[in-house]
Amino acid sequence: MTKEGLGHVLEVKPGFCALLATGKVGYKKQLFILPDDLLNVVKHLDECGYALENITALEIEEGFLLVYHFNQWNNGEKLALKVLLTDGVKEIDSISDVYPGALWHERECFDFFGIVFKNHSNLIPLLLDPKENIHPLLKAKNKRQPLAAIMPESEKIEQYIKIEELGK
Amino acid sequence: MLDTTLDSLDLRGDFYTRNFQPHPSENRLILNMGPQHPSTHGVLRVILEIDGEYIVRAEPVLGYIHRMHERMAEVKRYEQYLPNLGRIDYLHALAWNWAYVGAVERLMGLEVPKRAEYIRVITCELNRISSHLLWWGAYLLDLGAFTPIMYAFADREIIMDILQRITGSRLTYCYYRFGGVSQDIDDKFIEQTKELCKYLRPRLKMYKDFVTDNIIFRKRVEGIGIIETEILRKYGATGPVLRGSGIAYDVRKTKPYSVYSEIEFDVPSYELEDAFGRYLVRMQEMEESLKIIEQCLEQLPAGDFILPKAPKRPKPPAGEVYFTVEGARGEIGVHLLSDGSAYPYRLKLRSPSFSNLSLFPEVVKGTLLADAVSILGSLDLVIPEIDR
Amino acid sequence: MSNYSKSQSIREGIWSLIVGLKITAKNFLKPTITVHYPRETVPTDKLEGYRGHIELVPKPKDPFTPKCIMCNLCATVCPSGCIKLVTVKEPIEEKSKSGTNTQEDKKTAKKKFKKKLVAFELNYNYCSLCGLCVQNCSVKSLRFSKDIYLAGYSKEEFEYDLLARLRAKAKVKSAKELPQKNSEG
Ligand code: SF4
Ligand code: SF4
Repeated sequence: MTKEGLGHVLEVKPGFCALLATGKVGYKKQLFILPDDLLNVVKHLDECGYALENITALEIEEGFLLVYHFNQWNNGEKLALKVLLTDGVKEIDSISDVYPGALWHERECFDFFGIVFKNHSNLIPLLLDPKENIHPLLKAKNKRQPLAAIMPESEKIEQYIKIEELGK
Repeated sequence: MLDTTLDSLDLRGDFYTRNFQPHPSENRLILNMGPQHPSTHGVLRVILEIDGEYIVRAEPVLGYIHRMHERMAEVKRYEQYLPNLGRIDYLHALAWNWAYVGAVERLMGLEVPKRAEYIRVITCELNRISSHLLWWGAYLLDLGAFTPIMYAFADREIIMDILQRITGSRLTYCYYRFGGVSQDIDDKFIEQTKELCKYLRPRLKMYKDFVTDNIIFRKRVEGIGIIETEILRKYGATGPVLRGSGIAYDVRKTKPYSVYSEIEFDVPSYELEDAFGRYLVRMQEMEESLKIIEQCLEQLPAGDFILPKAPKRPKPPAGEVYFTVEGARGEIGVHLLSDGSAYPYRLKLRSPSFSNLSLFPEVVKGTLLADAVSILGSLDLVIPEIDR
Repeated sequence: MSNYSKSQSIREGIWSLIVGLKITAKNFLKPTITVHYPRETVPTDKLEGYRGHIELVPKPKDPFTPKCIMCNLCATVCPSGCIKLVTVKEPIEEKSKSGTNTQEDKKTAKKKFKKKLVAFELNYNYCSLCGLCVQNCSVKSLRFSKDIYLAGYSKEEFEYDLLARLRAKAKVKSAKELPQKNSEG
C-alpha cells in the first residue's frame, strides 16, 4: 500500500498538476503539484478569482506535506493544493506576493514545523516565543506515518492537467 | 557593579519592536497598543508607527494566549478533545463544537438523527445571538458609549440561562457529541426559547433607535475602515467582514450543511464596505437567527437526540476531511487527518478571526489612531481564537 | 451641502440623541435585574442544569455506599486526568478491616478478594466540566453537584475525596432524619 500510493503521488511532471479523487474529504478539487510549480499554480488560481482560505502543513514519513486551501465565494467550492517536500527539504516559495494573506499562515507553519518560506518579507515567529527555537508539531520518528496511510484518496490520480488549463 | 548608563539600557524595545523598525525616522513615533489595551479585547498587541495622529504602518503581535490546541489534539483521544473546542472561541463555542464533531462524523460516516440536527441549529443560533450581542456592547464600549453593554448583558443573560439548562455551562460549552448532542431538549426549553424570540424582537428594534440611528455613533463608523473586495479575497476574510462589503457568502447558504437547506433565511449583506456595513450585517443577522430558531422549533421532529449506536470513543478510519461551518465571525474550518488510531494524526483549526485580523495592517494605513480602534472593533475579534 | 439639508441633518442628529435619552430614562426607572451577591444569591430555579463539580451517586438503599463498580472508565476518559480511584483488595470471608494483604495471598487466592473503594479523588482544579465522565459511567454513579459558591485560598482546597464527601453528606442527612423518625415513632 505504501509503495504504490507514494509512487503515484510522485509521478507529477513539471508543469502539470495531478487531479486527485476527493471522496468524502469535502473539496471540489484536489491537486498535487511539485514545489517548483507552486507559484505558477497560485498565480493562476488568483486569476480565476479564488480566495485564500488556509495554509497548513503536516509531517509525514516522506517529509512535509503542505496543504493550501482555496475557496470560491459564489459557490463555496473548495480547492486544495498539496505540495510534498521530500528528501529533508525544508524550503518552499512563499506565495505572499500573490496572496498577502499567506504572510501569517506561513509564519505559523514556520513556527510549528520550521518550514522556511523563501521571499517571505517578515519570517519571524508569530505565535510562539521568539527566544525558544521549538517546533511543537514535529513528530517523533516512530510516530510518522507514510502519506498513503493517512490520505488513502491520494492513491487515486484521476487525470493530469496542464497548469495553464486549470481554470477550465 | 550595576551599569546604569544610558547606553547599557536597551531602549530599542523588545524583539517585535526592534523587528518592526530598527530606525524610525525623526518625526515618527513607534507606539505599542496593547497587550493590555481595553479595545483589544483580551491580549492583542499592535505596534503602530504614527506620524502625528495618523498611522503609517501597523503590525499586530500575536501569541499572548497561545495554548497550542493543535498539539493538544495529537495527544488526546478524539472524545477527550471535545472540551478544548469550547475554549477556542469562547463567544461562539458551539460553532467550534460543531465544526469538530462534524468533521469526525464525516470521517466515520455517521448519520446524525434529524432531531439532533435541529437541536444543533437552535442552540448554535442562540449562541450566535449571544455572541453578536456581546460584540455589540463591547464595540460601543470601544467607541466610548458605556451603557449599551449593560443592555447587551441583560439580554445575553437570558440566552445563557436557557443554554445552561441543557448544556450545563454558560460560556465554554461542550454540548455536541459524535452523532448528536449530549442531552435532549425539553418542553421548558422550547417554551423559554419561544419567549426569548418574542422578547428580543422589540429589544433589537430598541437597539436600532438607541444606537444605530445615533448621530455620534454614525460619525464614528460611517466611511471608516473601507475594505475592498480584492483585499478581502487575498486575505481570505469571511463572515460579517465579508458581507459588510457586499459579498453574500455564508456557508449556511452557499454550501448548506446540516438542515440549513430546509430553513428559510436571508443572508444580509451591505455594499458599504465600512465599519457601519459590518455593524448592520451583524445587527440583521441576529434577526435572521431568531427567524431560524422559530422555524426550527416549529419543525422540530421527534426521535433520537443522539445516534443510539454512536461510538463514545471513536476510532475513525484513516483519511482526510475538511469541514467548515459558519461561526459568528466567519468560516470555521477543521482539517482533520486520521491514521486510523484513537488519536488524531493532525488537526488544523482554521479560525476566521485570524484571517480577518491579518488584513488589519492593510486597512489601517493612513487612518487616524482613534479610527483604528473603531476598525479593530468592527472586525469582531476574539483573541483566543486567533492564537489558538 | 446646501443649507437646507445641513440644518435638516443637524435636526435629525439632535433628535436621535433625544430618542436615545428617552430610552435611557425609561430604563432608569425600571427595577434592578442584577443579584447583589453576597447579600442575595441566585434563585435555585435558575440553577437547573448547572454543572458543579461531579459527585458520587449513592445506592438507593444505602446512602453511605456509592453505586460505583470501580471500572476506572471515568478516570481514563477524563481529558484532564483529574479523577483517581484508590482501591484496596479485601478478602471476602475474613473481612479484615485493615485491608492489608501480603503478596502471597494475592497469588494463591485471587478470587477470594474483593476490590474496595477507599477514596475517589477529584482534582477539581483541572476539571473542565465537560461531562464525559458522567456520560461514560455505565452504572450512572456520577452526577453533577450544585456546589456553586466555591472559593478558597489554595489549590489543595479543591482536591476532593468524593467518597468521604458522600459519607459526610449521608451522615448529616441520617442525623437529621433520625430524630424525626424518633419523634414520629
Ligand atoms: S465510571 Fe462509574 S463505575 Fe466506573 S469507576 Fe467511574 S464512577 Fe465508578
Ligand atoms: S467533567 Fe470532564 S474534566 Fe471534569 S472530571 Fe469529568 S471527565 Fe474530567
